[in-house]
Amino acid sequence: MQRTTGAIFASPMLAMMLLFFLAPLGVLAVASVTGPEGGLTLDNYRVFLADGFAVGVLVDTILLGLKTVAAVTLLGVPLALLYWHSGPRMRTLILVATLLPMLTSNVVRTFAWIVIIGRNGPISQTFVELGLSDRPFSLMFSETGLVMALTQIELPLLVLPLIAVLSAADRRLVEAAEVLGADRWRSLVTVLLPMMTPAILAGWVLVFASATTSYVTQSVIGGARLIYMPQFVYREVGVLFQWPMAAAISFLLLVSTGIVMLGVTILARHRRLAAYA
Amino acid sequence: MFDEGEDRDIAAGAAQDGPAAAAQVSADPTRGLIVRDVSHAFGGMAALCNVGFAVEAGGVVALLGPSGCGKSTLLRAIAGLIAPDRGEIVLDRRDMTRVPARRRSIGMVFQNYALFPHLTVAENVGYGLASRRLPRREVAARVAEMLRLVRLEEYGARLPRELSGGQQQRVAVARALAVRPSALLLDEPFGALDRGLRAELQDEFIRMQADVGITTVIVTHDQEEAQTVADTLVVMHAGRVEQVGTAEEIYDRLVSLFVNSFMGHANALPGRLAAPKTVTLACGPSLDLDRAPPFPRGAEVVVTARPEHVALGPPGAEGALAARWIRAAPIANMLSVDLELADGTAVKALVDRLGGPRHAPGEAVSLTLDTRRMHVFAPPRPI
Repeated sequence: MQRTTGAIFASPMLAMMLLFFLAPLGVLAVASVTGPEGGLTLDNYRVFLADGFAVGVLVDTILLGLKTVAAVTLLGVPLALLYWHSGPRMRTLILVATLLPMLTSNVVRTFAWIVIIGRNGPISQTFVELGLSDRPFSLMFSETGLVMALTQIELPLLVLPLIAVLSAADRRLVEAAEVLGADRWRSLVTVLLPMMTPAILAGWVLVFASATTSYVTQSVIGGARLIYMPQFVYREVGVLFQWPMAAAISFLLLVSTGIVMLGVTILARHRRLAAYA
Repeated sequence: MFDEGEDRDIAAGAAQDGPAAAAQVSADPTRGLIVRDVSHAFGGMAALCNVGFAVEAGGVVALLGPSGCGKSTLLRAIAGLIAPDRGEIVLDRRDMTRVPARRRSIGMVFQNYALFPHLTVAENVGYGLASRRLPRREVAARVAEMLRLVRLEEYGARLPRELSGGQQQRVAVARALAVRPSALLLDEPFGALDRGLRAELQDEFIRMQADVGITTVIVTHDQEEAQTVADTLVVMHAGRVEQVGTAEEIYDRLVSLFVNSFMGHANALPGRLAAPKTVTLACGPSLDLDRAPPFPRGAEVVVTARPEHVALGPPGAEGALAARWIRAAPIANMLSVDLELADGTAVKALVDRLGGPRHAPGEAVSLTLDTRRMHVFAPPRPI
């Protein structure tokens, strides 16, 4: 009874997923295994995996995702902890500063980064003024610049779930650790981090998925020199008109990022973490 | 129950205040816990006001009071989780007031236990030992010993959420005691348990406390629980200590109207002192006391009588108060009767269930107060 009622309410959502997500995905899957004469073939996959450059792009894309995840974590976790320790005013400031970039278009944010990491941008200027660099430099078209931009753009995806978890967290657990003789580092590592782990893992999935597929940022900051999977697919579709090949590459991207995300999700299901989820 | 025929204070006057309330329990001066004149305010709101008490080594003290009376704040100050604005906390002759919580060597059982949900029972119990960087083998041995003490040997590998409430409470106690603390603090440790389990765990706690012999402070709002578990009660009200003593001392020698109504039920009847030994009640009749309360003639007072000191009789009995029978509920072999005086004041009486009076709701009765066991207080001041 309850089950059927639930199904009724979920049906619009299910219908939409079926029509606009699963069905196109099926079309893509069929296209990827269709040969030039219409027969069933795995040639598209074979060609891609035999091409050293193409596999290199796939590996670069996954590495880009992992680097962004690492940078976002290093920046986001301390920020969330700062939020946890702050008074109401500081909390609002952190929340607004985190949310504000989400309210601007991805294109605008990306172009802002061109200014920041360019040869005459504040980063290059600061390094020169401090004597850390002999001459102005540009981080455009470099992976470092790309990871920096992606980190800022994806930061809210990790910080917001973390703030949600920490706001609901039981502060007495930290007090219990303190009374039991734990110093600050020990309570951070043994109490706070485990408490934050489910949110961190959820954030990782979002950041990774978002960073590996952010076509705009990748192509604007990476330029023509740095090619990642989204541009690679676009080239097959828009330039070479190799639709079956593009379908196969899309599927490989889906599977490889899917494996990373599945791994993270399985980690989050660990029985010790279930209490916090 | 309390009818040893000795002299009883019929009146104890107004509540004590200031340092006078910081009553000292006789304590071994070398060991134990002493709290002296502790005051603390949160953002200008006074939470504790010159609070003081002492626990001798191995003794159990209950901080008793309604919610918001400051008892939990005081416990947190003893644990070192807050630094009080003023006052001293001395444990085994060491001044702990400025020592951080992590170096106080105090065991604490939090309300709802605050067990680490991602750690197993054994890891929870061993947490404090691991913080002290003890070798693994020593930690394991001590954890096994503690789990034996709380009879949870089989549960070391479980996670807290896989345990029942009572088991979680025992893990919390084991975790607090594992580091061999100098004092044990418990914040409403039985509050989350249902009645039957609560009684069982209280018994077990008393046995274990006696075994370990550790100085213990327990915070509770449950007067019965305080009487069951603790030797000494510290009754708190609005950030102050109202009275310190054993349960019987407090029950019989009440210092304030608040303590009177908090420790068991008190029928409070407002009145005026008409003569040195005569109170005219607001509802009409006068009562003759056997002692003169320390108030000037004409002073407003409140007379209190326990339900067991209220006797019922037929309507119109001489010198009795007219009342209406509202309802009755049996308690063991007694009957708790709710009555209403002519002016609407509610009164509770405790009478024999077998052979005692029975009336239909609304019927007129009369009640007589045992004037030898009554207390006279100044009327409550608005807080």
